[in-house]
Amino acid sequence: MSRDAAVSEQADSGWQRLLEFLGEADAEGEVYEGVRARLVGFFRWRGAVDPEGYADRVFDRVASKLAAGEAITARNPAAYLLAVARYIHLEGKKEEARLRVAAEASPSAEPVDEAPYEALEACLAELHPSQRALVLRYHAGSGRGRIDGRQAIADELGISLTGLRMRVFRIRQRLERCLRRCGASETDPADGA
Amino acid sequence: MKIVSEERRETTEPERRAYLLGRAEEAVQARVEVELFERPEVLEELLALEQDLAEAFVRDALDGADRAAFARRLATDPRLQDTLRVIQALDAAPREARADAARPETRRGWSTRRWLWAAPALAALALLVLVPRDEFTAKGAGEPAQVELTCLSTCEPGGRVALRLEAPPARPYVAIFVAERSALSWLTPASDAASGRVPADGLWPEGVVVPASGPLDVYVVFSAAPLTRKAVAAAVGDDLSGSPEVTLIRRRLEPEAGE
Repeated sequence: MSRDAAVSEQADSGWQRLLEFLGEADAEGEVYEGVRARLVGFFRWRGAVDPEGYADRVFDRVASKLAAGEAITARNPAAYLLAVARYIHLEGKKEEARLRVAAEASPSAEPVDEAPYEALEACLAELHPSQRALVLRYHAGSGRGRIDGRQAIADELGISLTGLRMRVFRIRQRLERCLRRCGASETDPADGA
Repeated sequence: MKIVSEERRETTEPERRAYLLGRAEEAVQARVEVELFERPEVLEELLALEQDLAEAFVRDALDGADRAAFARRLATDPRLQDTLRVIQALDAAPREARADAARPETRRGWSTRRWLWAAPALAALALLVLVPRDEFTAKGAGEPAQVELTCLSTCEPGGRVALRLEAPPARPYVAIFVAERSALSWLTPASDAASGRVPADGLWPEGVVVPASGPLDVYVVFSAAPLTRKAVAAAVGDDLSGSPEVTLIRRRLEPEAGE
């Protein structure tokens, strides 16, 4: 076996052991994606400039340990990953601080869309009509009127305000993902833009 | 004296807000992060709270220190910028857009349609209109799920109504049964099997047979794991009201006095 092949085989073995460590055996990626989402959140809220890259670094670090035959005795895999994440965050803190200063030095942080609603229209059209109606109604009105309106929606649906809030949260998350997809396709070099 | 570890107390909303704004003390930060990794649902709770902060920021409802903290986070977090864009866009929606969305007849894609059929006993008297009612009864915690019905070839008794399903991401397994008068009949799972995943295209191949007379209730049960018929029945309950362990949706087909 060549050296490259041996390295590749060890990497695959490490990933396989990582998935087993996470209890991923039959879950077809759901456990892995769930843990990754929490790692990305952790790094975002710690102010990391590349949360997704850092999350991947956590998995790489653990997979390497497992591939090298090290035993991980932690009972809770997710808690162990948190510990590794904190460690990796500390390692990269100097680099983060340098990049954060550069970002704060740039003018206005608030994203400004000249036609904010028009930018979202295509994404709203992809929603189920009931979801579109719900999220637009949720954002209608202002001040006391908006609060009363939301209570009225919750009463109509027979759910609590918290339940309504979570429902709208998931719809807005879907809109965010759609905006990111649209943004990515607009800057695709293949389009010649 | 009983010592209660400070680490174990669940974090409060103000503590989580401070964490999201980057203003939490180290001990609070540690507790939030432990919760985040010990309880998967905490991620959604934090993201929802972050959306609330973005909405307050847009409406200028954050106090000076919080506003400044949010703005600092916004400067370096593209995901937060996306969140803000969505909030700003929804707030800026014109009145006509809200009115259009609120109209109940507005449908896209797989739209439910009216169809006419003549019940054998009443053919000489009146046409009965079988109308799928949008009784979206979703029970159980979890993301929105969708169930839509549409006639395939004929909408007369014996014809087939197709189901289009969209499962919540965390509950990809589906069981379907039909209640007609007091009788239940299962579409899936088979008697000796457990529920399977929703097909990738969301289309349930078998569909439902249009009854000779209505109403007909179609129950769709989404779950996080495969369930046998017995387990589905236990989760749904004798009164077919559902439980937090599953997402239950009912669609009713019923005759309506028509033209």
